[in-house]
Amino acid sequence: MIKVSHLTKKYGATVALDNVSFSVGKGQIAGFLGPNGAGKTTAMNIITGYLSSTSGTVTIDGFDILEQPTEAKKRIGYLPEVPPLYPDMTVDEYLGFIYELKKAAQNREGHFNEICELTGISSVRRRLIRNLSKGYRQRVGIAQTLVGNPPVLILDEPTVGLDPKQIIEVRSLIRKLGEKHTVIFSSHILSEVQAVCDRIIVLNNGKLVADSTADSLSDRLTDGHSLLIRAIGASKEIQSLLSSIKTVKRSTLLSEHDGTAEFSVSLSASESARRDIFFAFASRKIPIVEMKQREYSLEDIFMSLVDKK
Amino acid sequence: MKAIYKRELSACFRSPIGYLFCGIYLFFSGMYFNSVLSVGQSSEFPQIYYGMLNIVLLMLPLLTMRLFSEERKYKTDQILLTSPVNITPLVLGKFFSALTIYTGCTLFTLVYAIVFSFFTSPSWPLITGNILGAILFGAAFIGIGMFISSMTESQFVAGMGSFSIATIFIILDVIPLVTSSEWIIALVNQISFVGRYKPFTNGILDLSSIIFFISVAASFIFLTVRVLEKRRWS
Repeated sequence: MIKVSHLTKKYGATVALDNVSFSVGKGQIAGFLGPNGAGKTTAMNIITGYLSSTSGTVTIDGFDILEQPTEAKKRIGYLPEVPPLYPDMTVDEYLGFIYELKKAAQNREGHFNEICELTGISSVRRRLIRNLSKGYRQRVGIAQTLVGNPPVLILDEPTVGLDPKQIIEVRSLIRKLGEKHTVIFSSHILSEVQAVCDRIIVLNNGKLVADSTADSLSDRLTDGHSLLIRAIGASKEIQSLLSSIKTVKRSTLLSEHDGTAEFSVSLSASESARRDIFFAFASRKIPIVEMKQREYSLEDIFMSLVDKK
Repeated sequence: MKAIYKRELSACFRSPIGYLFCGIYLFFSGMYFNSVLSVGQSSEFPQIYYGMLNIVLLMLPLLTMRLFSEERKYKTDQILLTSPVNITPLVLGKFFSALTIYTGCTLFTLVYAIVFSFFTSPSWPLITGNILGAILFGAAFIGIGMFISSMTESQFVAGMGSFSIATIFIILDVIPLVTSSEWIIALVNQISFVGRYKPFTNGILDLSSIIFFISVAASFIFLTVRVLEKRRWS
């Protein structure tokens, strides 16, 4: 459905995208993951035809975005980083404008009802966009992408700036949209991409660092299984205790204060290791205050992905 | 083109700018009408169009400054440029929306002509010539203002830019009075908007002036399209 090959974008001497290639099949939800400035927005702007690439091609459903822009753009609904809303219009007027702009052919009233129902903006349709809260604006932005029912949706950080409840709602909305559309959405939150996407495309400094399914990416990260342990006691004593346990490969002191020490521990086998640690600590009468699976931040992913390259 | 034209027209009257423009235009044209009749004791009613030219030049930036700068500021240009529409109809839609408001104001002066016709018979060809000239004059300057607006995301900068150019156009006509250099006078006569308008004041549809105004408008519409296209490649 979306085919991106050898995309490069340079702004003067700065390389924003460096030879990025990937393709997203019909009905897939693909997540663009990367820190700010990784090139996610640039990539999306090129895919939607807002910017042109320095080299490389983008085709949407077989139509090249440069050669046949009208055909390609007809198939895309795009929500940029800042929702492109006119504050002086009501939601209905705005959707009507987009409808005419895109020359949509659906039955207008029915189509709008369906979109507003889906995005949960039915109650604000007569209100000025200027007066809507950030969450509603974001949803109007998403509703706008659905006008004309394009098969491809490109959403640039749709959850940024929303409150936790809204984030969950938007995520489930994206999942729902993925049933009928091919979706690319970007985020810098790993758990969000994992929760929503079938595919994860990781960008860093304009380069594609990983392109895999959500599961295999987290598998790659969690191999070796790592725990976070907090215990009451002297750090030296705990350190030597940990290194005496067979299933512990490596332990590093993260912090120590008020008599508690925090360790990051890599294990060779996760099942028995937790028990081994528990009993070892118990026999030495060192209370474990906290023991949990170590969570990976985006930084960890980049470190590990970049290290492996 | 129709969608963007409709949106621009309604947007102009959702903000105070549309009312401000029409208000100022009607105020000054009314004042001219009044002074031509009562103070000047003159029956040459179409003088008001000529008198309005400088005011029109200074006012048109109000209409043109927001055309593209506002889109960029609100980032709504992203939806325009990623929708399945070519850039040229987008630009034309905006151009004609501004021209429509200006033309509406100009046509309103027909009311004066009707009032005038109660007392004496006005020269209709003269009025028609003047109105046509005024519309063409405005179209050319709207083209320039729109072009300036497409280059910046600040409405203020766009407005001041067009305003400065308007001022230059006004000053341009003073130059022949203070110089004896023949080629400067010839050059000014060629490019002066007000000078190009003069034939219309006599009700003459001067072909070279018509072509001058239309080609200025067309060139700047073309340049605006290029500016928007170029931004993709920057």
